[in-house]
Amino acid sequence: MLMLQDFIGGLDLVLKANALTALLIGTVIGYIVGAIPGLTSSIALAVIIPFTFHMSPVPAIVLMVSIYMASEYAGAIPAILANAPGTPAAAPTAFDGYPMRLKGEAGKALTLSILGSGFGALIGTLLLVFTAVSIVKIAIIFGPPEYFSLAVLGLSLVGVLSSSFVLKGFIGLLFGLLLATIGLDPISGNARFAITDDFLSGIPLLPALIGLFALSEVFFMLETIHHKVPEMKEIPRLSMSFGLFRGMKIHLLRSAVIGYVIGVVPGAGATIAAMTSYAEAKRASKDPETYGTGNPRGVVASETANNAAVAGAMAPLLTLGIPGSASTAIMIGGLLIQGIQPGPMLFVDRPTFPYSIFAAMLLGLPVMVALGLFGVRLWVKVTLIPVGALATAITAICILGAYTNENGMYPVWVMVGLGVAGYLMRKVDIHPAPIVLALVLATMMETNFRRALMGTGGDPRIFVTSPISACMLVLAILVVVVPALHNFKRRRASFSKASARTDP
Amino acid sequence: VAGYFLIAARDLPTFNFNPADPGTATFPDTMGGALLACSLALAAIGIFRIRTGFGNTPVTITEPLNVTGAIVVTLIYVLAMPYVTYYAATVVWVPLLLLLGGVRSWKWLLSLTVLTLLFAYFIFELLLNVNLP
Repeated sequence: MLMLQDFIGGLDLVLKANALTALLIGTVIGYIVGAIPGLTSSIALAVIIPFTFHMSPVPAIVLMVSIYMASEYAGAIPAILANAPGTPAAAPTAFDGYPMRLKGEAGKALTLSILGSGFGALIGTLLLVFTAVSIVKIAIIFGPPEYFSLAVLGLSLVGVLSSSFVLKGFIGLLFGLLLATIGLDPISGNARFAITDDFLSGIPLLPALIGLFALSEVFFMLETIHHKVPEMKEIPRLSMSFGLFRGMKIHLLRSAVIGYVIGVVPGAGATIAAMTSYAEAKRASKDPETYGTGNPRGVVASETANNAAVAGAMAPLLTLGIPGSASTAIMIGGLLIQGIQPGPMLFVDRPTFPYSIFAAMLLGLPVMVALGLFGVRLWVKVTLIPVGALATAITAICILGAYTNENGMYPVWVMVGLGVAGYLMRKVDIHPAPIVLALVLATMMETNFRRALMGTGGDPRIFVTSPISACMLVLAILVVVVPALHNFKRRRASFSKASARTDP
Repeated sequence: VAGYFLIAARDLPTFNFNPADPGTATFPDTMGGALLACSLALAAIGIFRIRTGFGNTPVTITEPLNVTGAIVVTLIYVLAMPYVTYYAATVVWVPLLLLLGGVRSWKWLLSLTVLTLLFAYFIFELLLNVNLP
């Protein structure tokens, strides 16, 4: 009953002109970003956050959520039309979507992807509404040791999942954790590593996010200035035909559940969700050999899962204050600027706020499906903007956005410095996601670690005597050790094979 | 990076109001030590790969001149902005970055420069009340 009341309260907040306008603008921006290969929701969110400074919290979060959701929707458009996924999560969509286009079934593939995305987002959002309250009920009893262990578990997952090489993921994490120690110590107030007075306020989160995600991507875009997206000669016709999904009920539901569950895991995100769902659909299929040759089920599996994962990634963000993906890590930055601390207490202190997000996600569904179906002509045109022009526009907004953070040049230097560092690190396969997540979680990790010790007179056993904390620490160790051992064995086996081949 | 943090952490205050608090330097010390260990391990793996040639994938930058040029031009732009004003610096920087991005059409060069200036003025200065340098 209380949940329904909160939901109605949340719905009331979203049904205001400013929130609905934010929903529409966010959806259009999300579609444009998703339709351009190379641009992702995390870049769009990093660039858009400075514009939310002067907005009230509900329209600001509605804008961010709608960008996040719409960009995952739109990633399928260039994947199907040009074999160039708009977002990494749309890569498996291209496996069957592009062959469908070559067979003259582009309209069918786009309709399936948009309606499948809508279904995935709907199921994901419903699962989010019903599971969030249960997670909050557990999280509300968390104390400092549990929060410390939760941060350790979250960071371990991100470190392991962000790179194919675990060690590089951890280097990114530790780099982020060290950067976060610059400024005032959160417990004693002592200054740490402040080489100038500017550094006393620490590394500003928003310019760091903009630099690591958006500016580093600009340098990558400049490497692709000679890649051409093939121009579409004819615009496909789309229709609201649910008959295309005949015989796919179980397939749709399975993809949505896989997407949501994987989305909840911090660091996994929409890309892994789409890949897993596609692989599972192929494994469960009676004709797996048709996957990759234009099987409509492949498009549906990928798109349903990657959109359900968006809702999944919102679960740890809202209930635990732990970002489930790079985009939600940036959204935490946006929420903190609005004075909103995500976590279980948000459901106690301001219960209508998280429900306004759920309401926005549900209200956004028909808008996104309608824009997807009827705006295809525009999204096709968007893919043709020159890379150099995009790179320049993004950099200009990055610099303006960073400057807006403190009305000064210090955040601009942080943004540019981390943009260049982020680019160089990405060149050696160290992704910015763990750095950003570490920046977000470092204070929570350090303060809870020290508070837990101070509460027990310095006894570190508190982290293992609390059952929840102990479980999370054991999980964190397993999450790191099991894949590292597996990788080590695999690499050693392939090294032995290679040596045997080269030895006479 | 790890070395810098480890050395600089030596100068951090050791006094604590609460004796049970592990102190200001504990967290950066631990993270710095862990980063150093991970980096050394990665360096060792790198040396092994170079020697054996196994799994060694060289890092390549596809358009090195364009990327390096964009970084240098952007650094100079940020450096010059407080001295020559945002608008003057932008008039030079936008076309340069567009050229480095492979855009040769004068229509794009002109329109994007004008649009950037108008966007900064109307959205940031007028709407968001930001005082640009």
